[in-house]
Amino acid sequence: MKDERIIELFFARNEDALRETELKYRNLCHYVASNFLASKEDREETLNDSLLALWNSIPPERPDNLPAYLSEVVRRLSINKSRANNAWKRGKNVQIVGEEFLSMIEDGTDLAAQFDAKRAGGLISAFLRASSKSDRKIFIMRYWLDMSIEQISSQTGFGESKIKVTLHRMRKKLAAELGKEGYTV
Amino acid sequence: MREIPVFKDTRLLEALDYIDRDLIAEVINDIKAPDADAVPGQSKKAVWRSVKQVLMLAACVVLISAFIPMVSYVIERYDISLGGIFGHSTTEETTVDTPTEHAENPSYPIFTPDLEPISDEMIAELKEVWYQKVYAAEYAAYSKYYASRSDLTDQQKENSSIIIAQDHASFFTSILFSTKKEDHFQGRYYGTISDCVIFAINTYLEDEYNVITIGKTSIINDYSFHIFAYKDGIVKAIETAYSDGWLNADDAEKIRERHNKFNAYGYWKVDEQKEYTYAKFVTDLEEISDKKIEQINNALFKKNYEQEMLNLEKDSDTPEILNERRAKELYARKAYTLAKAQSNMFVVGIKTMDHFINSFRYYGTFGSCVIWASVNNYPPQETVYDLDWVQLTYSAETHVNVYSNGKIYDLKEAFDQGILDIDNARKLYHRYLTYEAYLISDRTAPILAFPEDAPAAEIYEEAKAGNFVVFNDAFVTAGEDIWNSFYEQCSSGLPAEVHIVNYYPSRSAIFLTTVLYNGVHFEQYTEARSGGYTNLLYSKYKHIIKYDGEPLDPESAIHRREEVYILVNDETLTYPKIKESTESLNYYIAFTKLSDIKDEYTTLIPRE
Repeated sequence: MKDERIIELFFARNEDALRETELKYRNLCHYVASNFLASKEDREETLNDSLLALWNSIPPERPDNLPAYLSEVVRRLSINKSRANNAWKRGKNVQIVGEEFLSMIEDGTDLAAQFDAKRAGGLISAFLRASSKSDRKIFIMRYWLDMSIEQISSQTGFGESKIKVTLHRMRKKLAAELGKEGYTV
Repeated sequence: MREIPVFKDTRLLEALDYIDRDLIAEVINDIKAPDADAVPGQSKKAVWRSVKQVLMLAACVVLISAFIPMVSYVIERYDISLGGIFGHSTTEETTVDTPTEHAENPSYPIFTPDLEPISDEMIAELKEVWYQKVYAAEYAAYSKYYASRSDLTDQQKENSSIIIAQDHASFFTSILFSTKKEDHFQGRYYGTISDCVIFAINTYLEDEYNVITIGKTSIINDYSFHIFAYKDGIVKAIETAYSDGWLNADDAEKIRERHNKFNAYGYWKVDEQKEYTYAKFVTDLEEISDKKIEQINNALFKKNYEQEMLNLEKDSDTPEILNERRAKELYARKAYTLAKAQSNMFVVGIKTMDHFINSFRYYGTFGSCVIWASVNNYPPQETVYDLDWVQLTYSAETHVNVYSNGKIYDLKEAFDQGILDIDNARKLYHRYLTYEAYLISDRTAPILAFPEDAPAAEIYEEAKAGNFVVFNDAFVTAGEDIWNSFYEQCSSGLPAEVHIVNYYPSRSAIFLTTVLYNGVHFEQYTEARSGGYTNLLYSKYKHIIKYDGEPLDPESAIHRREEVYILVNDETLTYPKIKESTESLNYYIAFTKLSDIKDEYTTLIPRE
């Protein structure tokens, strides 16, 4: 079923919307969640919670891109669940990827006290728009989806060393961009 | 190794939450997500097939419901017979197994009239040899999974053969030399060639053997498999049989021909006399010549080559991408064709360029166009093809390709450019439906039925009174003796079955699970009912492990002792290992009994 039709079902408050969304995007949801959550039960629960969140948010929301919107919800709920979990239930990448992303900040550096995550998010978006499509794909897969280098390699077909080099360069460039905007990194 | 600095300010991570959605969409739309319910140990192809089956089931339901008015219109307008699609044809040639029939006959037998007959005694002998010796002595060498066992001494192999045979049995769906369903011994007989019994088996090992090369002959399958030769009490992989002189080049070609015949996109059907015949899904599929395959290979290579060149332009400092000189050399030498055409499908591999294009379904030749579906690692394209009123839906990593006059097009592109017309699209759609109707999963969950709309609390009460193991949140409230009897039975290697109900009153959710043990492996079917919708889960496991002792986190636990039974595939796993692991493990905690509840938590125990 097309996404537009699924969204219409949400607007019509027809519960088939949930079923159709799950049928179409169950694997995607699990894939997104699997990077944050180790246990299948947790992922299953997050999927259920995400569908409920969709039900509650559409309408009034009318996402232009349903899988991206759903992935955002799954990611957010997975991160919340991951934080609440004991370490053994967290996905294997969570800490590694987070630390890698933050490695652009020098040791001991604190961001400005008035740090505005939304504004910084806008800066990152602008930075990604200026990057090549393949570079921003690698960046988002790694830092937004918390994917392992191996997974990125399998999704994109790029070699692992290329991915690592790309990420390294992008972190360096992004740190410089953020620095220009007053974030000391 | 680079040390990761200790970060001081994690707020930067929050900024990631505000990346513009269109940028996220660009990536998400390209993600190739594996089957969330895949069984570990299945090969990538097998996993893909499962994804495909689930998606196709969904797609079929959606398509059929959405397109019934349209299909009716087409039938009326174009006088199409849909017997082949829905299995109601009156003619033998066009009958397709309905999903129901398929579920009842999941075993696909292997004899065709033109194969050399094989006696029951030979089948029995081969089965015996397979179980007792082959696995340790031969198969281990081909599998990373059992790589460690290939180091065994001959004596050790002999001693360990029984255990290994059990492992083997649970890893292969079956090796078929018989039509008996209960035999669990399924495979495909390719005939007796040069005094060797040749047979293939499907594997669910991690390694994939979808291309077998014997001398100059390549044999290709669209899922993991291997072919063996049996003679005088010894089974050898056919490569070994060839190098050891059991088989010659002509034999290899004969095996390839027979293999191709089996892969001509048909299916086995059984009639009332229990006779099996082989039928093609699409009976009027156009033959495709080797010359045409060669042309397609050239065009595919060119397309990949151009893509690589684009990558090179963007990332001139990337060493691992094939360089231009090397690519030109390969192109000039045509050093890229991995395999000849199959009779009704073909596989094109461009190994040297790191692209392996597995063309898994040939849809036919429409005028000058050859159309096929493939799984590949091109940048993913649309997975729903809208061609006027015709809609074809595929899982994310599947693409439909059109070859015409030296070029490869995406299906939609070909249609939009007028290379395919609406009549072609109609014919394609007909074939698409014919294939998809067959691909509906034959798995039917043996879950005891409760009315779909029954409230969770009601099911819970009913289950307590019935033959179920019942949990209310973390606490077992009924059926402990049923569980113990199940455990005892499967520990003795006897087939057993148990039905488990997990009720979560706070969420009004209920999970209905059936665990089956057939003496070799466990199958778990769960129907999860939560928030007004239902979800079916399936997993297969090899072992059951038990933990009986203190909780692993005794201080924070509400209890002082617990008894836990877990289904796993890796028998070296333990409950503490599972809990401590940061990896995504596949396991199912089937039964937990918490006891000696701490005083301050006794109020949590459900009052029944």
